[in-house]
Amino acid sequence: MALVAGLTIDPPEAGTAEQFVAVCTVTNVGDEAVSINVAPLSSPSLALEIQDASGGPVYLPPPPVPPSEPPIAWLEPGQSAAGTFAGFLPSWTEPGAYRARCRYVAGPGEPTWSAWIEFVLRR
Amino acid sequence: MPLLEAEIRAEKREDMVAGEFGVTVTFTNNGTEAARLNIHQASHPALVLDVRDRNDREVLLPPPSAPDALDLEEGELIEPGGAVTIDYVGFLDRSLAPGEYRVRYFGEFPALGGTKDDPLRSGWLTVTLRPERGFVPGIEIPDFKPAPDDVRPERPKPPWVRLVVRIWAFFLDIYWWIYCWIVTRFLRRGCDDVRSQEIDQPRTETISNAPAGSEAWNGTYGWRARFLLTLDEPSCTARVLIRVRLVGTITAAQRTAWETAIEATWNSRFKLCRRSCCCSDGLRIVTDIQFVTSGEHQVVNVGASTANMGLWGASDTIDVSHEFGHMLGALDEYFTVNGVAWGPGRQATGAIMNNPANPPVARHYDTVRQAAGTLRGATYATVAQGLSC
Repeated sequence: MALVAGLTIDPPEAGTAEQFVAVCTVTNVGDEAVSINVAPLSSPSLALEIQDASGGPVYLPPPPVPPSEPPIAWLEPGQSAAGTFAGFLPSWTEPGAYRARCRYVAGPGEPTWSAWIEFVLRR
Repeated sequence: MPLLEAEIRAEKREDMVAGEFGVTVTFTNNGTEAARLNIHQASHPALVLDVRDRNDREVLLPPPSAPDALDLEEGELIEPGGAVTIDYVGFLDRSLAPGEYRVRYFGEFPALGGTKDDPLRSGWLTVTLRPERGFVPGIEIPDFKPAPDDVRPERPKPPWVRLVVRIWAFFLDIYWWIYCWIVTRFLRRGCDDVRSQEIDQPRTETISNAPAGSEAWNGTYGWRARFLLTLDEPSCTARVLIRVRLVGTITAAQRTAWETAIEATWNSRFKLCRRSCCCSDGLRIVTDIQFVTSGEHQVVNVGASTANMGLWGASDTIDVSHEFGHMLGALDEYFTVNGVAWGPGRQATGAIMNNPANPPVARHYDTVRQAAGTLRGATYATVAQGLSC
């Protein structure tokens, strides 16, 4: 399976946590259509890993109870599935510099990671 | 030559809460040449916003962050006729006294659009601050036990133990009845005590052993259970108020549907019991979700579907009740959570933290119970509303 994860965070700097919007994208870069479980893209708690300036983890609230049957989607070559997470950063987050990356967990193996994206919550 | 002008404006200027007041400054180049402005550096409120109180005394702002590489660059070019906008939010400290204040942009360095001799300044903008209603920092519960006691049912006690417990309870009841008779008749102790406390309890949980297809759920999660707890003897209630500020678009009907579903799920199912001369049948647990525009316990973003405690689906009335459980401090109950195996999620007989369509059980009020114990200096038990204390 040839999947690539990407992440954008907009704006890169904001005065309140609720202003940040993250878009986590999983793209099929292979030559054949693949089926993927889109549940890992349903919640920022599942799809985002966040670290503070010292590299410590920033924990998000728990994800929703998983569906009984994993929701499956087909991705044609070049096609993407995305999760958009408005206000993903908890309101109690202290001001400072952070970085996040998208993780797509397809199964028991190593997740597909995006590059780290930095963002700043101003005081 | 460049001619940079700054204009300041605010969506709302009256009756504002200090911590939430924001302004927008628009920089327009009205000259014939490109002008330079370091937008990154100009985004630090403490470097560029001049704030004065009613007596024209300077209001000090919190210090800016240490300069980074972007702060030290030359800055961006604004072409003739072009404009850029910077938003400043939350730069006034929440502790600022209510009253009238003035704020303007004031840049006296080239990176900020001006010089010492010819600073770039906007006009003054006047704002009226009001006292911040209801913003009282909560406390953590001392000696908080992170997991409730009733995760596993107790083993049945032998008959002789049950008999001894009954006899002991009988004599205790008689002693208590006499004590209360003396206290209420002779010491005139009325049942009119009302006490409140803001609670802010950090919660964490680690989910493991998620089955195939749900591996993404494995991980550690964290949040804060925040609420105002009021123990009210006159009405024999333990009231849990959670103020929620919504971000996003939702209709009044959808918001009412959330409130109705949540309060129907969590209200009047359990009570807090302890030996007491007042409310001897316990304090009924009543939850109250209020939607506010400031002074919130939690921020909830409105989306298409419920994704966690901070992002709720506008049309959802099932999973939002589960997320409200997290706001009360309850842990999830599917897969393995903090070492306790619960099995799959959404089991037909699972309680709300396993199956959001079902009602809660006593352990889901455990943070409330412990908070009440802290507030009263006593130990409470959580008992179903239909049973006697």
